[in-house]
Amino acid sequence: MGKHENRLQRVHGVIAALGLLLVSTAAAGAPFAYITNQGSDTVSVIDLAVDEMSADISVGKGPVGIAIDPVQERAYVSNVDGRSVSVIDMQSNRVIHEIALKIAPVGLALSKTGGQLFVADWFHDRVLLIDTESYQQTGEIEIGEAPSGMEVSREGATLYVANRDSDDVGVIDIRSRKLVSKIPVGKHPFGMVLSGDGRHLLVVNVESNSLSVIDIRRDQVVATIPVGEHPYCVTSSPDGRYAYVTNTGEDTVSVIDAQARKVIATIDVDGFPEGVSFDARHQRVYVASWMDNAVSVIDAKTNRKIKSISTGSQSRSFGQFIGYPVQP
Amino acid sequence: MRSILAIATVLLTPALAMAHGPSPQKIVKEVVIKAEPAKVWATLTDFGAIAQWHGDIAEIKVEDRKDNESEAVLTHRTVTFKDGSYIIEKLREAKTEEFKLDYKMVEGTVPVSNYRAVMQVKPGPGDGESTLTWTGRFYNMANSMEAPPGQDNPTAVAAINKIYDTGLDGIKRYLEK
Repeated sequence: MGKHENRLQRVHGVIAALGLLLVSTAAAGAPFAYITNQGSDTVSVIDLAVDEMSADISVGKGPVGIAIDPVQERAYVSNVDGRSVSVIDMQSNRVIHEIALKIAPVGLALSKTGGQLFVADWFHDRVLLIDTESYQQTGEIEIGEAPSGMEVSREGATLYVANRDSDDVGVIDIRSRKLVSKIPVGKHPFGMVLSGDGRHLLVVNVESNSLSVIDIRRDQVVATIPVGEHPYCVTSSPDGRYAYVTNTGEDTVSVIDAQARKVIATIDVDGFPEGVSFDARHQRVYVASWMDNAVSVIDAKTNRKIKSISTGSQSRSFGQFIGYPVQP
Repeated sequence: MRSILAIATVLLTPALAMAHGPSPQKIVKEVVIKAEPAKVWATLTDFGAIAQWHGDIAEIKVEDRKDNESEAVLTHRTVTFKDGSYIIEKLREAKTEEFKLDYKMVEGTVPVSNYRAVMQVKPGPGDGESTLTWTGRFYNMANSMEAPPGQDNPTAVAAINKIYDTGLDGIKRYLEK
């Protein structure tokens, strides 16, 4: 009896291990980059295992922003000219829904479970809340002027919004839907990212040519780091040690040592670099370049640009655009 | 006849040109010139020479000035067109290894905003020929989704189109004569 049980347990153990193995290989499926192309009204999907475009998906007019939900395997795309959000299923690379809006959406963010989509309404100083199951708007929150980049805190309770024209970051308590704080930053904050370790919020100040580092436990700017000309977007390495800022006015990426709080490298990339994301699997940084209809690939170990990948026309990808869909 | 040789492409969909939004506008135009790339490049890097090859320019002034965005001193040109409009542009960078000229609008009455341009020379398609590409990125003058007529996207696109068309036609003739 005892022996039998043991054996059963062992069998169960093996099955469980197999299951785990399956899950882990599946969860660690190849990463893909989702590049919004303003000029061709498409999203170019790039397979980062081979650095080749594997799909070019038609979306609404003038796609800009991107937000990825790895749980439900969806990519959300804001179409600023078409006034809508396209919902892409990452398994099939198909648009499964287009959420019509009355307003022009730019920045997007998702709740941790993926159940709630936050849409920055650039022209009416609000953030819209949309239920991702029913696609219905469930509320809105008044915020600063021209809200653009957004991020959700690691534990999921807080939404941060860069208010470009009021030069601050709004801090929203997601549960109560209330603005709880405003953190003054530099001039024209636009792109932002939560550092890989979840402790800092990095905010790009377009007109101050700088990056504000906010300690999110205190909601305070703890450093302001000068970067290149007319910066737009930022990403972080998963360990939070390095940040990468796109400088649209000089076609470069500034690499920042987060601890030393200074730029340690400046890398030439393709023209007018906008969105930037980190591929943890291959330790590479991907940069969408509007002027050259391309994505520049940077080796994060050497801080050198190693190649360019052609995309659709006028690539932007405002937001963190790399995702890992589970393979079937 | 020269139009046979001039290849101009506008990468702009009608829908985009009609839309009012914070979306930047882009124009790309290209011309083939019967001249060596180095010769075309020399003409481009002489920032004030545009008055000699662009047919719509009434007056030009070139001076070194402090950059409005940094501590650098950059070459600036004030271009006054025959229709009375003007634009002050600063030469950000001239990358000789890529034959790439990068300049930006500082101010002016040409109906655009946040305008940046890149002119790049590449060899070919034929021997002794060059292909010159002129790319512009800009917003409408009002920089607004609800821009009034005269400051909207169609007005901005038309203005840059005219500058590029006349300019590429002019530089081709100037260098081929």
